[in-house]
Amino acid sequence: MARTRFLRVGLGVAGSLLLAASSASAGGPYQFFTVPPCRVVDTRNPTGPLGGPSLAGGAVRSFPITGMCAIPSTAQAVVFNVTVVGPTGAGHLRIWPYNTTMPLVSTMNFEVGDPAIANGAIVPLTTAPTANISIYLGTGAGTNADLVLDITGYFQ
Amino acid sequence: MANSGSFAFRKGGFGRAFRFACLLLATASPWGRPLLATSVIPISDAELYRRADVIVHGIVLSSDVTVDDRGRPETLIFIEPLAVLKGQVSGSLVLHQAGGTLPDGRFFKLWGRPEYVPGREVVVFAIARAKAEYETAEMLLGKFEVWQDAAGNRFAVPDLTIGHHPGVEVREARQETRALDGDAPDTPGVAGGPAVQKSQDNRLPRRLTPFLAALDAGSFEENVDGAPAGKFEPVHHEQDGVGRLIPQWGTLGNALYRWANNATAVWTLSGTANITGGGVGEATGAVAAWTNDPNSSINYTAGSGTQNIIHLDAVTSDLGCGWSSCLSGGGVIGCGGPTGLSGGNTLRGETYSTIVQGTMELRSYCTTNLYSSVLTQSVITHELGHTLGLGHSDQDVSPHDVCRGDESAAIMRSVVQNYTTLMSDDQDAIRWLYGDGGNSCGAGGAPPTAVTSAASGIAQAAATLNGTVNPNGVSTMSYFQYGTTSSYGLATGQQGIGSGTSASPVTGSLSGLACATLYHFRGVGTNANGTGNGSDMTFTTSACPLARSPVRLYTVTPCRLVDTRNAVGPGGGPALASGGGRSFPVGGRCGIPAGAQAVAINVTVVQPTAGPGFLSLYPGDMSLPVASTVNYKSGQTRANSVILPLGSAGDIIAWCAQGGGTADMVIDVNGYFQ
Repeated sequence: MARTRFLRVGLGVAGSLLLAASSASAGGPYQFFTVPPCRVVDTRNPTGPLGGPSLAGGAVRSFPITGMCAIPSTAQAVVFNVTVVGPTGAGHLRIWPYNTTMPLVSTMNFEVGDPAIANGAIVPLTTAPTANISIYLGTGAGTNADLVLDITGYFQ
Repeated sequence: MANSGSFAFRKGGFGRAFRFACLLLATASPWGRPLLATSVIPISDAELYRRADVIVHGIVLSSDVTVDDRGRPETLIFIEPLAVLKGQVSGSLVLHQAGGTLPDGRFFKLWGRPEYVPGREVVVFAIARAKAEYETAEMLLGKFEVWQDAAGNRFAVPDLTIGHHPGVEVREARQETRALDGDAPDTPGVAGGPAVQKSQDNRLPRRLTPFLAALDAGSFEENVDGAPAGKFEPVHHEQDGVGRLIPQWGTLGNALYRWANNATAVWTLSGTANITGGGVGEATGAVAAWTNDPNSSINYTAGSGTQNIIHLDAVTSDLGCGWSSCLSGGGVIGCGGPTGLSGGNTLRGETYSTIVQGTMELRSYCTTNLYSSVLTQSVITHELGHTLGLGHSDQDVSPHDVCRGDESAAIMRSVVQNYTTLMSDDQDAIRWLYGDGGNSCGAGGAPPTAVTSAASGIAQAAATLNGTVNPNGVSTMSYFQYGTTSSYGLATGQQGIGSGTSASPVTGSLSGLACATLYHFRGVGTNANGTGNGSDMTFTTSACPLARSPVRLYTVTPCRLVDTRNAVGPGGGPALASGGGRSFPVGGRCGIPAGAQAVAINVTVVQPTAGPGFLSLYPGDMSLPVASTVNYKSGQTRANSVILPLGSAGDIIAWCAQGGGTADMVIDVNGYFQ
């Protein structure tokens, strides 16, 4: 079984996230570049690669990130503000690099009825042309939640 | 052959043929597209030379339809050689081309067949058949006509470039040649014509002299493609009193006859144009009548008369005007022109004869039996226009050309428009020809009406300009002027918006703009009548991008940067009010240097008085982004950690949106990036 190891991004930030990546994609050190706050994903929007439909409980969905919001294709990680909107089931959300093994970490946890709840996250990217990150909505079958991803910077 | 005696031109018809303009039916055919088509792949002159048994430069003496030995219609063409460039020809070159329409109406249609007009000068590549007979090599590809441009240069023009070729599919990507009649063709090589390409397998006219020299020598090393300029017309020949063939310069369409000074710009069809039946019997009763009255109308009636007869059966008429292949879905369905001329008037440097009488004819089997009464009326009106001296609006040979770009707004267009009254371009031409010597280009029409509306899609370097432009009936180009002052100085590319009479939305996409900069812009429409400007409007591009050089993380001892619950101050109260933003200085506090590019902070919203809502934090240079930082319900205390870029002044803005009330906010900082 592939051994998964946790990459700790060394920010002295309260509530900062544990980021997961397969051992093969661990890398660095990287430099930080700021970008103006920018919304890259909003599943409340019409159906599209960066829009709807809502995340489905127990399912994985992947998103392209580079090329949007002035994130270059060479970016290795991005600084997200992750917002879950209107979940119909309690649970958690995982974000990890696309096309790698889903890690045993949660980016955020939430309750049913939260109108919206956000958390900051630094997430490594897979530099694939079709998608860079994957997201798992850890709620019960038949539930769903909307997802909003805002970006304030990237590492490369 | 029995027909070998027909060297002489057909009596009567030929001498006048070139004075008549005709109306084509092209895409308006009720039969739609031909069922069959001939595919044509243009080949090089060298290849044509190789395939031909004889090549003749000569003059078409006659073209008559007879029946071949199997009873099928066949067209016999006699060509008087001026020079035999390849092979041997004794006397006239006699071409036997399958197909044609017999006088009794039987026809045999062959798509892609070359059409020979008596009197025209041609270059023919011919292939020998049995009994010393010939046919044109490679269908219409083997036929060229000799034309002359405004400078007097002569060209050999490929048949594909001349006239209308229903059922012919050219197997290469090319611009379509407009559907034209055989007397006033398209003008290759001039502005608006097909692009000039340097190859000898296309529709470009060849310069005649080197072309003939190359054929004579069998050598094709020199590029003989040419680009005629200005008026471009076929060479006609007529026999003089002792039988010599004398070149004549066609004046069809180019003849701008001036009729009855001060006539008006209106002619009408007050009689019925709904012809039923057809044939000579009814034709003899049809009259188009007008007077020299300054306000004359032209009346078409089906009554009896002896002047200005409208011929309803072109088969028996002696008015030659190209060919009559209407049954194939395209072809000439009417001809008209002046027959009585006297005196002359000079206007705009050209001399016009005064028309005292006119004649028109219709192909009865096209117009009366098969087409609607509206189309018939349209054709009659069109042909009456020719009797007034008008050419075709789209062929550079008419007063219509006084204003360009509105050729479609004319019943005088060379293809059927299905108008039954004068359109704006016709009125322009009539006013110019008979009116006060002026035209509508300057005075008669209104310039476009342009309206500028707000820009959209504004970004750091791009924006979309919006507006509307009303062409006011004349073909109009629209664009936007823009710049950093109201003098503009820059413009978007022009786009055609047609010649309608209602406002069309127009947009212009700008890119490469400077960030955080005020731009002026306005919509503009321009046509032959002038230019219309919309009002000036402005937009400001988005804030400049933050520094994009890499930055490094520096930690600081966790420090409370903002607490709006404290006393009023830069890092204190008052609480955030919903629906507004508040600026907070960051650089220079909590150990963060003034040059810091971003901070790592924990943002806490404390007991908002309303909700649900959110806080959006962003750099001071920016306007409110579509990005949030903390979401919450009323009364909820919640935190989130973010890395936030700073504005150029080291500041941030916190925007509160919660539908009313206030929210306290706490910001703790743990590090910065520089």
